[in-house]
Amino acid sequence: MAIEKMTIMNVIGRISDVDNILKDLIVLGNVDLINALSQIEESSFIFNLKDENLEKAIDLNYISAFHKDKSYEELIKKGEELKKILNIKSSGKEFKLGEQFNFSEVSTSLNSIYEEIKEPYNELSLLNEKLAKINNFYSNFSLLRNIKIPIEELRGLSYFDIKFGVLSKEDMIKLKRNYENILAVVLHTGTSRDGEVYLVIYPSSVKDEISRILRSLNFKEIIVPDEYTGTPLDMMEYLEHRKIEIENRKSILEKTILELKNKYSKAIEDLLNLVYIKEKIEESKEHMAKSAKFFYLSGWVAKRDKTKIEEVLNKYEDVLIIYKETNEAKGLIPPTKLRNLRLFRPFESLVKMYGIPSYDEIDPTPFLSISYMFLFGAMFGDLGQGFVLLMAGIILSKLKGNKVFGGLIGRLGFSSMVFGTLYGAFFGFEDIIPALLIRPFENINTVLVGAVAIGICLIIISYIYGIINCAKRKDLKDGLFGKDGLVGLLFYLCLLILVGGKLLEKTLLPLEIGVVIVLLSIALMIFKEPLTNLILKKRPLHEEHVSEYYIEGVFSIVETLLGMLSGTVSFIRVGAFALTHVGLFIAFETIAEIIGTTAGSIIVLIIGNIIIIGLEGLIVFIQGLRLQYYELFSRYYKGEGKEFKPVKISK
Amino acid sequence: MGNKRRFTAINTKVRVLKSKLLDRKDYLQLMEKEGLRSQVNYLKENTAYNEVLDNLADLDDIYEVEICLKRHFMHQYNKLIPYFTGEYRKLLKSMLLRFEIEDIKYFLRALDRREDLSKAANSMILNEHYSKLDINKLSKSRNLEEFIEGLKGTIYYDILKPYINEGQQKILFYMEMNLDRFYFNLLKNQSLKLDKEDSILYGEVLGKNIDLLNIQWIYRGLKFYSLSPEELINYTLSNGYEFNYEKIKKMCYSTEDKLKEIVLSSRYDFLFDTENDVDLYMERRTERYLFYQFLNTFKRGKFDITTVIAYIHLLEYEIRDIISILEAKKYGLSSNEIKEFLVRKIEGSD
Repeated sequence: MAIEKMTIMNVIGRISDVDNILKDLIVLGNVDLINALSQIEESSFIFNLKDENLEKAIDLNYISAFHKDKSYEELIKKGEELKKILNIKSSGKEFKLGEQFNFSEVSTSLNSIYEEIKEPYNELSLLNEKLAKINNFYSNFSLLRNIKIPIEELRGLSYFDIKFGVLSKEDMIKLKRNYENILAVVLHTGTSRDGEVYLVIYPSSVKDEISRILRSLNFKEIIVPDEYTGTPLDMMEYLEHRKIEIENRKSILEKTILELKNKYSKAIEDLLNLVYIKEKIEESKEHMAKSAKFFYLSGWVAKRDKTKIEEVLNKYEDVLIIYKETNEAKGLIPPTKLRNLRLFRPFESLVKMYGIPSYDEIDPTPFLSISYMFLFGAMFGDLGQGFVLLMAGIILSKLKGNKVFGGLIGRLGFSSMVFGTLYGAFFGFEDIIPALLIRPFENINTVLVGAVAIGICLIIISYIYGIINCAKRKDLKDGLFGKDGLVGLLFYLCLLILVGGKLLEKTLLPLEIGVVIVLLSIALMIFKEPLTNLILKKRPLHEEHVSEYYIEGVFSIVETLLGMLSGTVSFIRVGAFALTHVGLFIAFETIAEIIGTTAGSIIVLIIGNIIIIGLEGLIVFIQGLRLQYYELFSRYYKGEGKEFKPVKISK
Repeated sequence: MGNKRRFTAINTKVRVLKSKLLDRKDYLQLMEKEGLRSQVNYLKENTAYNEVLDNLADLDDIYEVEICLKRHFMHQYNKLIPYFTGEYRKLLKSMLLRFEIEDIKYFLRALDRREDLSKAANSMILNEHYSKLDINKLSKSRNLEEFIEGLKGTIYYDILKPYINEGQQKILFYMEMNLDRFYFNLLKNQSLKLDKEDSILYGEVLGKNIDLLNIQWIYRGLKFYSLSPEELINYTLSNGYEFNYEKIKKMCYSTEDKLKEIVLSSRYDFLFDTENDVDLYMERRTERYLFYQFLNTFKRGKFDITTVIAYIHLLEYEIRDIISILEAKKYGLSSNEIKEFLVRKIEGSD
């Protein structure tokens, strides 16, 4: 229904066109590649031997896999580095069909841009490093400012040595506590990134001892470059001067880079996009095969897209396309591509969360969408709050990455608005708009019974879905005699009628007939395997041990019975949550009344509404999903398919 | 969170785990078995080590067996972590860093001996699951500089960075000392963040351990190494339990005999109060002291941090004893000789 019909497409083309053809297919984005080598082995590449095809047929005997060309990896790195350096924001990826694609050209131009930008950038980062060093030096020696001794004089002392370095707080304490035993003067001179900086002055004669002691304190020495001379003040002056020089050079470089950015940013992005395509092309080649003159490609395509793809491919010379139907493809399970109305599309994500439908299964999305919207609205019916959800959904779907979730919330909000009108609720208040259908809180029993009735309808629909799915799978055993099959449905209906009749105190079906049908269905369900095998003339009748089979069968009947009852009653929550929704608001309304002041009441009511939308909205969302997955999906949906994953560029 | 609530579950858990530890009979059996293969088989058939030993391919490689045993420790340890949250969990994870540090030291030593690191990589106790170290990358480094650069991004980088360009001798010693000091400071700092009661209790456990390590260090420093007292004191660990800085200082600035005197008047008198060889058994005496401390703590089973810490150490000592037995047997020691090297007392040992 809503699952696309698939076919295998096998393409042979000239090897010289391979990059361009793949580029076009990737831009189109609707081919799910499969291994061409195995397709060739299965002789899928069968075509008429005409003169023009002769070469292709001969070449089929000399096929091999593609070698992976990894040269794009480096280019991607370079391109991304450039984007980072120039601070370019991606503006989406756009590609045109049919353009010639020449990777070596792309490579050379990207490389040349890289070299051109990298040069000033490297110098700039070098300068930044120097600047950081100078600043660091400032802080290291800030406390030395007042010493009026040139540093070279300290260095040149004949009987004393000096050392600058960092000590941690803890090590400094250790040093202090044992200071009387250490033959050195230790002065605090500043603070650096790594910790406090100290100057150590000691007699040259105990050089070794001191350096060992310092080492035991984890002393990290700072080397003062020889270019720094004079008193600390002189040094600072010199550094100030250097700093200005560096800053000047820096601003020139920055300007150059900015100019380069304006000149190249568009080009860089275009080139990088092409490199991304190249990456995909190389990935695709892993699935493909080649011979000396031709390439061989196989993939799943939707039948609907066939003409579009052909149009693109036929622009290239010498391209041969061969299709193969799904039933001819042995051992290959066709991937599932869902195709639904826009209204239903966000709900596909809920289906996929459970499992991808098999290719031969009915897509449950439409049924799920309608019933889920219905259940959510029924539980959370409020015109105002629904509107908030709708708005939130629309805003969310505009944001990046939340399109699906936003769409979901919006649709649920809309459904909530519809039910809000039916219930006459607006932000919890029931006296603003009239109820078109019913006020849940004043008709508790009706609401609860109604919920169960809706549940019964949904369950029956899912039985029908299940039976159709079994028929499509040609699964006689489960479709006819299974608990979710035809007999199961009969059993369920019969039970409902009997129970319903008792409740209404009317005889809808004579008890005797009912009991006979029920017992018969039970018997059919228990004997489903031998019966099926009998019909299909398969032997042995029981695939497993006979006694085990029947013990299991009897227990599964008990389970089925319980499951039917609890599954049906389970839907009472739909009514219950509709009531909770009103009840929760009444609670907040009461608090608002107790508070008394107008401002206070308004605040409480606003908070109340926020809580109801957030908390109850979430609960209802989950409960609805639970009903879908647990009560309905379990009856008809397997979800064992494989998703259709075309090669394409993610935008 | 109240301590009762925090520790009921974990104390029950460690009691179960403790019951799986080896008993006296197991040790005696292990000592009697001839050959590594039969010892390993005994462990496999009778103890909780079967899980790790089952995957062991080469039953004859004693080194492989030891690594397996140590991995058992990791498995058990990681069963405990989920029972804790917040600072308590952090402390437990910090304690685990010791193994990471051991692994780094192992690498450093291999580098020092110019051995192939890929061989060392195979004997890492921690695998990627427990450790943030990129063993694969580290094992490809060809020299100390590359190795330390490979540690970039980890807490160890800053500690080892100053040694990148040091061509000096004894550099290994300095690096190891600094790693150890870092570890003990980390534990102390982390333990201060626990609830007050647990913080004090843990401080006591840690402090005793530090005391014993300091005594060993100073004793050996005075007796065997020619280190100046200043250096000696700088390498001691702070946060001891009985010995504060002043006492440590006194010990560092004394002689071997005076040191013995000081220790004999402390709770750690057992270190020197013996006729037997002091030097050979010093480490074992330390461990035995701690072992019985932990055993008592465990038996008390209080609802605080000590019970779980006790279990962890008991398990560690058990593995050490098993390894001792395996190794000793390999070198042909008799049961009575082996007993001397075990942490626990088994009848007839000193």
